[in-house]
Amino acid sequence: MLKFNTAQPNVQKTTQVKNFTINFGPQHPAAHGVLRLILELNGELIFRADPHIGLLHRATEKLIEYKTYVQALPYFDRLDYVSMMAQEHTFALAVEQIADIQVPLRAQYIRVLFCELTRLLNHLLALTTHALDVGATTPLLWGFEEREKLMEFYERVSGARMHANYIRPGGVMADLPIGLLNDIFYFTQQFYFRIDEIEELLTNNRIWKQRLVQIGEVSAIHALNYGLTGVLLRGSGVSWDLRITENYEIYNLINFNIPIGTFGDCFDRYLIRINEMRESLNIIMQVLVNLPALKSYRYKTDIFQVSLPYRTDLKLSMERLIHHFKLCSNGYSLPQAETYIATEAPKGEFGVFLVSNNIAKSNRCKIRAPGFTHLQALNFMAKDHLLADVVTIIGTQDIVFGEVDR
Amino acid sequence: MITLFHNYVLQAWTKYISITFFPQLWKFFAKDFLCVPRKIEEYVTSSSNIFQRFGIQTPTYLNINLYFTSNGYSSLSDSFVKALLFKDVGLVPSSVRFTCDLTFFSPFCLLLNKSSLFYYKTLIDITSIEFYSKKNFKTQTYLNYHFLSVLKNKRLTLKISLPNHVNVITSLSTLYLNACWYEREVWDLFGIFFIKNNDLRRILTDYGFYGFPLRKGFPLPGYVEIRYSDDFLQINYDPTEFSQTFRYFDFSSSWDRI
Repeated sequence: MLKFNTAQPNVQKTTQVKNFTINFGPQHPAAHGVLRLILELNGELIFRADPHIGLLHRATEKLIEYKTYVQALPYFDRLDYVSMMAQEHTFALAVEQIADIQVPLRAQYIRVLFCELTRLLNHLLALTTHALDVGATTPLLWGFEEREKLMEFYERVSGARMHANYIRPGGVMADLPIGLLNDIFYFTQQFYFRIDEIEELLTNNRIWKQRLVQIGEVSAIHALNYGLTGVLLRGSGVSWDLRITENYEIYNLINFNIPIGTFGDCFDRYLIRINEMRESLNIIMQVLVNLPALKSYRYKTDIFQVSLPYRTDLKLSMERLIHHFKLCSNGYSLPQAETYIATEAPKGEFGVFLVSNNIAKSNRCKIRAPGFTHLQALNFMAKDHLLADVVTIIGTQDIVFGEVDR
Repeated sequence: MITLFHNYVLQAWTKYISITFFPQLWKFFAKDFLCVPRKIEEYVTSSSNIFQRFGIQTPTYLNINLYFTSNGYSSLSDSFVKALLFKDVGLVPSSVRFTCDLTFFSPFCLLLNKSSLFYYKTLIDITSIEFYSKKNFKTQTYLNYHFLSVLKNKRLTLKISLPNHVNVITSLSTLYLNACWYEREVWDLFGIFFIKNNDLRRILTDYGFYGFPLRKGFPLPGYVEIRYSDDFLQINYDPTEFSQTFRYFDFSSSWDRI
């Protein structure tokens, strides 16, 4: 009689599975600069992500200790090189706080106008490169067309396309050129449709949703404890915007909404960035309407211990020329004090902790970069995600290495 | 000193717990609660967003804060800080600044995070400052901790002076999840050691970097420079060479101070 042995052999297979460690970057295009990421993989799932930063470390804080306040300002353009004016604005606010300077109303409006243009500039880059990393090429091409227009506004007002050095302590560098506001108005009118076009490509796109929905979810409690600010905190459903809570410049005179998310995933953050661009346009329109346009309104403070003399006076008066020279060589000294100023940069809370020391150079200038904190949460956000999702999460964090490495 | 501090904390906690769980007692402490955020609507939305979204029932202590609100200046948390009586309390609108002794540090931070009186759930930044006096050629190091309470819209700056040549402090990395990198940065740039930080590697400088670059004694040009060597086909570290040495003109400015 034939017998079949139906019993399973009582052998337990023990295999040792070793986690695979790979190196991501620093020359990967999706690393948004020079991010070296050590990824420990469990299969294709991320077990641990260890970012190695500092490849773009330029010792900005050390250099600022050796520079006068006027000379220190251009370093802030070069930190986060896609939202330039937002950062020099923060430094200017810190100096004004210590020096106790009131900025004229027209200058405040101009500052807000350019901070919001900067927000558009940043979000256009953040969204479209994010889309490029995920696989959509077209939004990048369309978005960079608009960025060119925005950088033209930068150029017309300051002479430089990117590193403007325009918002100075005490006001702004120069008054708006004739016809600029008109062109900004025309820009905003057509930009509503550009946002809609980008949204048509992405928002209901099936691939885009598959890559973004439920990826990199952060709960509100975790977002707070990881120190996330800006879009990442708002994506988790916390209505927190420093433009309202810190109440700097003329933001209290302007009506605007804060878009907040529900699920705290990458798709929510994408939608928030889109809607923040619309809100920025809203703010720009209100600024254009309400900007004090009379010639008697000054664009910088009349405290000439800080602000440079007017160019027309410079040509006529020797005293003014000496004044100009002394301010540009010696600088001005601030009394011993320390202050922390935080503003809503497009990426999150950008803070400047400035310690002045009775001389013309600051004792310490600590720059609180939002990207530094966000990148730290990468390990938490990317855990148990697929390898391809790390790219999505880096994109949604809007990392720029100028500010992370400082 | 520590026991004294714990007495303070215990007293405060018993008071707090009694207030929280026995609403009958609220009227006795009403003047302590003369505190409410600037805009009540904002407050409600932010708190409801955090808790209701995840189906968590709003805790009792939040309700207290909602009922007794005002301008947030003479708030309960501020008076609580005053009661704890650290060296000096300087108040600026919507943010508190004070100096803390080294021994009080970690229990106080625990209180800041866990107590609903403070609710400083976010650590914004850790900074070190080094003051150098030319008179006695000594440096004094301070550590600044910036906390943020999103719920109450308040900021708190905790300033700790480190004793001379004792650059050691307890880590906050268990309490605040983002403290790790801030501490790594301070360690990297200032050489202040954080006990119980499990991952205290250098962060911003090069692998194998020597020295702590943001200290006042560290020269601005640094010690080494890196260049690619065509002969050896590798990157070489050489001592810095400049045709002109770095000059630092310290004008004592006759220009008026502001």
